Amino acid sequence: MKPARTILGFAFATCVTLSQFSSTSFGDDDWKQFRGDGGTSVAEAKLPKEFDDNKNVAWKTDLPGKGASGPIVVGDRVFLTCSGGIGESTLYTVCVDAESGKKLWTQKFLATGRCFVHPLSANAAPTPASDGERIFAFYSSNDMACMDLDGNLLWYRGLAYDRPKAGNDVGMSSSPVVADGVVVAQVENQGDSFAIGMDVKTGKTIWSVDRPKTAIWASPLLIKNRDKNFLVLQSTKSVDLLDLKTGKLLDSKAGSVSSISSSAIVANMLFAPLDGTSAFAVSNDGKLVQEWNNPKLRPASMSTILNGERLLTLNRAGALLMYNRADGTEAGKGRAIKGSNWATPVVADNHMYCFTQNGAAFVVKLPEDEDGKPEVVHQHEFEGEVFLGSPAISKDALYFRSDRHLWKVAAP
Amino acid sequence: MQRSLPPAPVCLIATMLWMIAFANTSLGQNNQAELLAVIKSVGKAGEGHEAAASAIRELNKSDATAIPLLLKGFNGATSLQQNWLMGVVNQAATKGELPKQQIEAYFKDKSNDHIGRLVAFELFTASSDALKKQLIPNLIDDPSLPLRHKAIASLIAEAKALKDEDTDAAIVLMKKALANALNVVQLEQTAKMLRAEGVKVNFQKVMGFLNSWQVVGTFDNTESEGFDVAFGPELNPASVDAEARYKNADGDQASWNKTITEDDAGVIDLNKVIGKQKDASAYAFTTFNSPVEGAAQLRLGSPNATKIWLNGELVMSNEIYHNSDSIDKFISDVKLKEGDNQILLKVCQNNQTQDWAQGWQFQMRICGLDSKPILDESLYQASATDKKDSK
Repeated sequence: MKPARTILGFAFATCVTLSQFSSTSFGDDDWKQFRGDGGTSVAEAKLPKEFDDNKNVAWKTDLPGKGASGPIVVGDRVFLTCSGGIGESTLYTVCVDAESGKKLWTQKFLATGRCFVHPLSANAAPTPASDGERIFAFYSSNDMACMDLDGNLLWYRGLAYDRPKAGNDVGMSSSPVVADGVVVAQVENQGDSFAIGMDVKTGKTIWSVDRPKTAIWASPLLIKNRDKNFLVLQSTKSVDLLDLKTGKLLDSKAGSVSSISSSAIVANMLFAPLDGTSAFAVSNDGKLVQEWNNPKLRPASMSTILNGERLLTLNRAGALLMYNRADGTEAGKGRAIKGSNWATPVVADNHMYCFTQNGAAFVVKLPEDEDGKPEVVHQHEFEGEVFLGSPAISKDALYFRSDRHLWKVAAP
Repeated sequence: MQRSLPPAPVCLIATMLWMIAFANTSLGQNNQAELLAVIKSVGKAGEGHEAAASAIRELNKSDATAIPLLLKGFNGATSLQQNWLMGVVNQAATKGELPKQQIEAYFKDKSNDHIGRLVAFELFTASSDALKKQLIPNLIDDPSLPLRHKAIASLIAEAKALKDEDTDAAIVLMKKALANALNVVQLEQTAKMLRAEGVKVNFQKVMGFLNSWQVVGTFDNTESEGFDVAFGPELNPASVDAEARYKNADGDQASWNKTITEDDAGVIDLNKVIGKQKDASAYAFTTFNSPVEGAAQLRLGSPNATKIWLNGELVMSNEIYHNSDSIDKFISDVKLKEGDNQILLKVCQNNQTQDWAQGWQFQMRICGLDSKPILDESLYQASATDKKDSK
């Protein structure tokens, strides 16, 4: 009997141990994709209004490569992608403990597609996405690795290995989205251009549709009406609504569309960078019903932020432009930042957190009304750093990355 | 005190979990080999994924003792399959002690896969910079390009450090790097360093760029529709007649004109050779005298839509405009004849107006499967790409 009881005891202990090692709590505080779960770049959180190399820095962790991608947060873990090696061909996915900043695991692959990118950018330009169980790490070379939260590879696709003429040699930055068991990648470029929906469990193709042959850096988005998820894709000449599960085109609105700035969404409303900015309601039968258009609302490189009743964007000169969500009318403007800005900022507690290519961080207090002006309440230069990726917010902490480091900023 | 057993359902669950846990460490080699075979059936477009996704869940239970077998799996695997294996190896390496001797033996056997050997090298040297330092210089002519890259990088760094103290010794190192490097960036870097020391470098020859072409144009490419139109030169791509004349877009008779580029990167700039045109296509033709017969790679750099015929066979088609003009942007596997090989190239320009979309050019070279340029020596006899005095 003793051996049996020992085995059972061992099994029980193993069970407990395994669950301790493999489990991670996740929930509403997660930031599981580019611009957060709602796709608005806004979170309900209390972040420090001041931070520098030391102040309010919970930790700073070295990274194995550069990246224009942003971090994501699932439970108590932070995930991000990096690239390096010969011609940016080495692809990394890194998992960091949100509490301590310790690296929990690093996965490493070699690109199967073309790795040419602008020297400022990186192969690791798309922000990864998660469905809470898996991490979908996507790269400019059109490689996608799917891992569980403990770093076990579940499947690997080389989308340019399948379609060798697919490639954006400036560096593709379109981030994947995931819902309803489908992970979507948009590979829109001058060559073999397509979007693809893959089974999250196996990576098998569920659907694939050809797309216009022009380069797009913007990301796909999911928009919900009742319980149905629709997929929004933009090309330079249209904004398209597709069935997430089949890839079927449901509606399309033609016009001049930004190739870099992505749309913003809230509930079933879509604010697309089409002919300036156009607001659409998505009907439950999959139609785009236009509510307003403002040709003057032209986002630069960042994606539009939806903060309560206002749409926010920065122009190339660093001025913050604000518009009313309800009708697209102007709601104020003012100087916000200096320096070249590629990373879409994030907003918490009516403060906007901006990071520039030149290594500067700005905290901008947003005005309460149309007469007010944005106010830079804090600014710090991180010497020698380059910020290209959009930050993440989770549990009153701000996570941001440069081409060398990942930081967590939170009140002590 | 008497202890009671847990209730029956808890026992059952615990037993099942124990079995799973036990399975983690007892994946037999036969089982692992079968699972590897499933991974190596993964193909394009998600082919074989369902079975492979199940297999990798089992393989992910492997510990470090499985790594030698996993490394053998790299042999004969595609780059896609190798990434599946790499994911397993990376995790297995964190579980238990590495069988370093077996891993090192795999690395040392140059008949093993080039990427597998790189993975092996990084595993068994991970904890020893001294070992890396000892091994890397010997990789200078390694058939594994990423391993060779490490040795060349080390040589370049050594030459840089030595340059001010002992220029002649540094030049010897730079020349050694140039003679052995196969990576474009390292070749460019080394050539630049040598030239800075007054050493003449024929970079066209180092890279194997084809510098002599016959060019004819222009043909219509309005709305980019000319890409699929077979104009005169491509009607008989197996036997291009350098004396032939063709009706061009203006209705005139166009003839081939010889052009030899002295551009370091072997670029034939059609905006200069023909003149700036939009909605236009042109053809270029050359004969490549190959010293060898066999498998090779035709490597093209061009920002324009292109087609290439080798000895009459269409070997490359890229309907892509203005996303970059990088060296070796497109690579096609081809078969060369010993002696003369006819190469016909079609280069289409579209009507984009942006500053960055005005390039109308190409560069081409031919390499072996080992990435070494295959040279037609006759191309470089008259070429002088560097006017600097030889040291």
